[in-house]
Amino acid sequence: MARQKENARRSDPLARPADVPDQPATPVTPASRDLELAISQTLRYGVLLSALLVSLGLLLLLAGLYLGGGHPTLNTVLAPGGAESLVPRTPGDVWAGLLRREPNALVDLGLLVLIGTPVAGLLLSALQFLRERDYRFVAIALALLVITTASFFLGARA
Amino acid sequence: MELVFFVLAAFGGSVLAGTLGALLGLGGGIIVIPLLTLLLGVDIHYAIGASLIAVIATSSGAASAYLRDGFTNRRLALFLLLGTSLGAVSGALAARLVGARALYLLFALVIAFTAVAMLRRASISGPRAAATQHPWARRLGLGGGYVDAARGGLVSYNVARVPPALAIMYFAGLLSGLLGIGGGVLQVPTMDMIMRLPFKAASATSNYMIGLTGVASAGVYLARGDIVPVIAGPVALGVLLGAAVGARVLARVRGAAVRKVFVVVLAVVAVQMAAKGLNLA
Repeated sequence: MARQKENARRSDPLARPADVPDQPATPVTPASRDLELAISQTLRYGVLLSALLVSLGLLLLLAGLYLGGGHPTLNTVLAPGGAESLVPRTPGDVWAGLLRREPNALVDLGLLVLIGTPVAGLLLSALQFLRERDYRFVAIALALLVITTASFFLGARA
Repeated sequence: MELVFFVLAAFGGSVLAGTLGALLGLGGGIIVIPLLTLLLGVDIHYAIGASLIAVIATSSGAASAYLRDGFTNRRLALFLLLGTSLGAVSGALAARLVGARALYLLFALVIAFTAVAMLRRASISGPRAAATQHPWARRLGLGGGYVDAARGGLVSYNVARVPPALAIMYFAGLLSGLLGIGGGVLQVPTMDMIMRLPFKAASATSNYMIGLTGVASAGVYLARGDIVPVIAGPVALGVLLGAAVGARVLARVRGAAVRKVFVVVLAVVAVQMAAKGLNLA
């Protein structure tokens, strides 16, 4: 099996051992490695925080709906404009819900934290490239920030 | 359905979906969406919104571990994200226009494609390393490296054929935005076979990209009211828990056996989704 692979590799002109590149990889500096670990931690704690908010919100929401003696179904909470409507459309809706102390806004906040988590990692990357004066990648990171942010506005018109 | 039963069913089913996804190297979306639509009767647009949230959650969790271990090529990821995120926004915008029927049929196709890809994966012996760096990769510094514990040293690699890969990434993003799946099923083979990344680097980099790709379309779904807290919440929690369980079980299961069973399951689901699409008015 191993010999077969070896033969296949020899007969292929493109083949070369993976660890002999023609150009060294962009060096992994201690600073960029530190940043990578910081992004790793950001993702980890962002997901954990979000999970916490979503679980707490769901428990409070269900408790509130049932302790009030109601029999909510998926359809009643989905009815647009209905009394039990629980669907936010903007981060502003979520904020307003939180101010009214609605438990479903807590779930929404958790979902927003989740959506924001990879974006926070992206911001950290952008700052790193800025510090390294790697302006091409600053531009790439900014373009990505613009695309992800624009999506929150584009959907409203669709 | 009584709300509390729905929430529990969505959560339980998503735990299963997350576990299977982690065992098979698939995002949870490909299992979560049929579960929500076929079994729990959820509107496909809400199912897609919930799946997107789940995809962001699992991708972030896995990406955190890959970044810690240094397998992720962040520069390459950000560059290719230009393609996937634009694709994701256009897919998300198109999702309401193409209608539920087309979405079911497209989803059935993607599931069938995934099943075929899973069958073939076993027989492919891994990509050959690229001998030279593509000019774009050279100029942008996209080549990468990681420490391979098994081989005891730094593995550096070249990145080949960047332009066609970037174009395919747009379509990977488009599928993600349309169907609420991660798109890894298209991304990983592209990095693997076309750009010639080592498999570890390809899956880690794809994983990192999936989260941000999901965010790019999540905004559109949120603004449209397709992200419903009582659906997306339990699904995200369930898939996260399932992924953690799956990662633990992974070492103790024979992948090949699970894979074969799952190919059959996928085939059945593909047929069901197609049938549902065809029966819609």
